[in-house]
Amino acid sequence: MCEYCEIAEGGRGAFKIFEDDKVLAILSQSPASFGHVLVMPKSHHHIIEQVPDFLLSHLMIVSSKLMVCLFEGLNADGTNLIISNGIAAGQTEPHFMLSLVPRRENDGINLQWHPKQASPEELSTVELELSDFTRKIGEFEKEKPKPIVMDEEKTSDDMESDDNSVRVRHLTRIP
Amino acid sequence: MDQNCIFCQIAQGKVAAKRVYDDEKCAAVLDINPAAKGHMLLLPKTHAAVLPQLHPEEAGHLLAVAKSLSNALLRAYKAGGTTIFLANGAVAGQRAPHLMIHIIPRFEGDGLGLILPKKGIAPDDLQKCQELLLPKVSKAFGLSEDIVAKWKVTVEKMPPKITEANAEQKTPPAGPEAQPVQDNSKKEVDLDMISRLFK
Repeated sequence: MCEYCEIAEGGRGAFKIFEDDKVLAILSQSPASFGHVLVMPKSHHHIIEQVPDFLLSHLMIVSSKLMVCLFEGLNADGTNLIISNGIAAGQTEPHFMLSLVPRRENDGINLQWHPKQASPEELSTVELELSDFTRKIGEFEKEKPKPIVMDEEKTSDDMESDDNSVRVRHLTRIP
Repeated sequence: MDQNCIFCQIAQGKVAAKRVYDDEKCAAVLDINPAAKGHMLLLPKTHAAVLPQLHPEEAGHLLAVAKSLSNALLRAYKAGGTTIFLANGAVAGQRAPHLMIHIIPRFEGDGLGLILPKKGIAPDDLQKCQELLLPKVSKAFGLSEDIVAKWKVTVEKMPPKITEANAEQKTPPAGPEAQPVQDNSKKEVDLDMISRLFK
């Protein structure tokens, strides 16, 4: 099972910063800087193209608020949000995630690229080449309303006690 | 809209640019100094310098649009991936006073960089970092202290990080679960292929 799915399901520990029913934010264990947060959906997707639109919107809203926390809690002077989408982009984990990286003066992180000069003709060509693929963009997937469940949501305490009772049952079966 | 902000004007269509996407909340244009062919800038139409200043609904919409634009790059240029990048603040590499999301097509060995360094950190420091952040998270999300306190872990309980060495056994082989990603349209570019490279 994917390491991050395990964390999302509570089977593996992590330094959680935020969690709700759909998304999870944890501290990176191999951070680019102090306070590097990984924000991810709980559901397993490899790349952004596979993540539902409404879930991406939710991830972005959570990331935006977490950035405020990085500024306030860790005195960051800036932040980067970066998604390495696909191996060619340097993605190393098989679970889609956003990296939020607090930045400080002279922190030694280099995320600059060498800009090229594009002539107006070249840009027009690109515009044309892309138009077939961008023209249809516009329908965004909304979350389907969930059926109303009257039962109270399970808290993590309940889950723990469930877990215990399973263990206890298991013990009583041992002759 | 800020009259002095050139990117507000670009987003609103008042200054010419190669537009690849436009809706009521945002617009995407081609970067005139691209990192790679197809490099796009996604701009919100309301003026905001940094992400937290943007209305949550608009911020959320941006990433959904970014997904579609990334998809367009994968298809149009058969890119192997995309880098989606946002900088808040000059130290983070922000060059203009208007929030923008860069969407850059990527190819194996393209030498663009844009890779986050991976540094080591002591579990104690992670715990310290979590302690600094949780009160702010509680405030930012309006969550009670009790809820965020549940996320605290003691260092002893943390499992070791999966290292490069043992990651190979950990990652399942190209399993059937990775294959049938609901394919809803005629795709020339195989997203499955891009995502399956992990296996």
